[in-house]
Amino acid sequence: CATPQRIDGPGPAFERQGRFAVNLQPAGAAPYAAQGGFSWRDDGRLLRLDLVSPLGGILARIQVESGRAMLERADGSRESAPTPDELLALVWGHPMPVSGLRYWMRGEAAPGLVVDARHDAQDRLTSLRQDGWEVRLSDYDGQGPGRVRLSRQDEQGLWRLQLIADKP
Amino acid sequence: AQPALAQLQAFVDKVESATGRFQQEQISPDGAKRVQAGAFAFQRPGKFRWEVEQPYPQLIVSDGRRVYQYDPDLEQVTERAAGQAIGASPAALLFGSGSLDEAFDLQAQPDRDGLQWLRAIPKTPDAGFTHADIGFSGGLPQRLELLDAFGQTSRILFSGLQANPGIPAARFQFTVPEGADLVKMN
Repeated sequence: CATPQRIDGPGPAFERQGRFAVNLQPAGAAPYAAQGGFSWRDDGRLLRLDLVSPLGGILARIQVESGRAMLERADGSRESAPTPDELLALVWGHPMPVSGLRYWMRGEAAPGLVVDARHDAQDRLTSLRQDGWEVRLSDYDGQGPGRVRLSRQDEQGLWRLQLIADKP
Repeated sequence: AQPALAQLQAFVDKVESATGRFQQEQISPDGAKRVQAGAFAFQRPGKFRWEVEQPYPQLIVSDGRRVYQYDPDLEQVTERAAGQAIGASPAALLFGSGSLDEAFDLQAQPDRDGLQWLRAIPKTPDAGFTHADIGFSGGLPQRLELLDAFGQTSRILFSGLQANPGIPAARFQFTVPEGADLVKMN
């Protein structure tokens, strides 16, 4: 999918903290799962995502700028790739739709083809399909959906990602 | 008061099991703070329970062989081998057994806040933290301060610690709740 260079320029940062769960079932390989806390900060130009272990330490930090995505792990090892999706394909063996998440976290569809978009009574986006991902958005608050669930089934396997934002 | 290194060794040798409560503050470099609170229990060697109650439930249980991590809202259970999971993690410092100086370099630190301190530096880089300071008093750990590679500090305050209370085995067992996804790792 086309990677948006910038969403709306370095406006006020969109920030979320909460918990994540990743459940990856690659066809013919061992499953991978991770759970913990996350903090998400996106000012349209720079996105910073911290993945935090339940016992306290930051496990990994992902920083995304136009044209470059970098991951740094707690042990200091680093990976980088042109786009965040490719970066996570490097790390988790399957592309994670980080660029799509930049929009879905705000309750918006990402640029590009949208299939089966559905809205609730307040016209808030509750589900859609993009880039092969089933996206379900719920528990809206002032900032956007408090719960984001992604799932995807393809010939490489079944991929699930959930984010739950802490109630402020 | 006894130096921290002596209190740690006595704690590891004499306190076979314990229960208590914790409050955990994670302070990131830009000052953002996350606070969690809950209850813990451990039984040497290798059994422990870390139950976050506030602001949301999250449970980590090790039966000595397998470690289960369960989040009811996320409806996911991750199960992995105990050895690798607690290895050099903060939990191993207090709840593990055997000689700590296999996994950590232990250095005495000056007293502060009325506690006797030591610094534990993991010998393996993938411990997830740069160093952990433990503050003791009365032979029991009172505070654990972790610094991770990104400059985030995690401070854990222990309270109501009961040594050798006799804990039912079921506290360290875990059954996967109905409807939760179980993912077995390694």
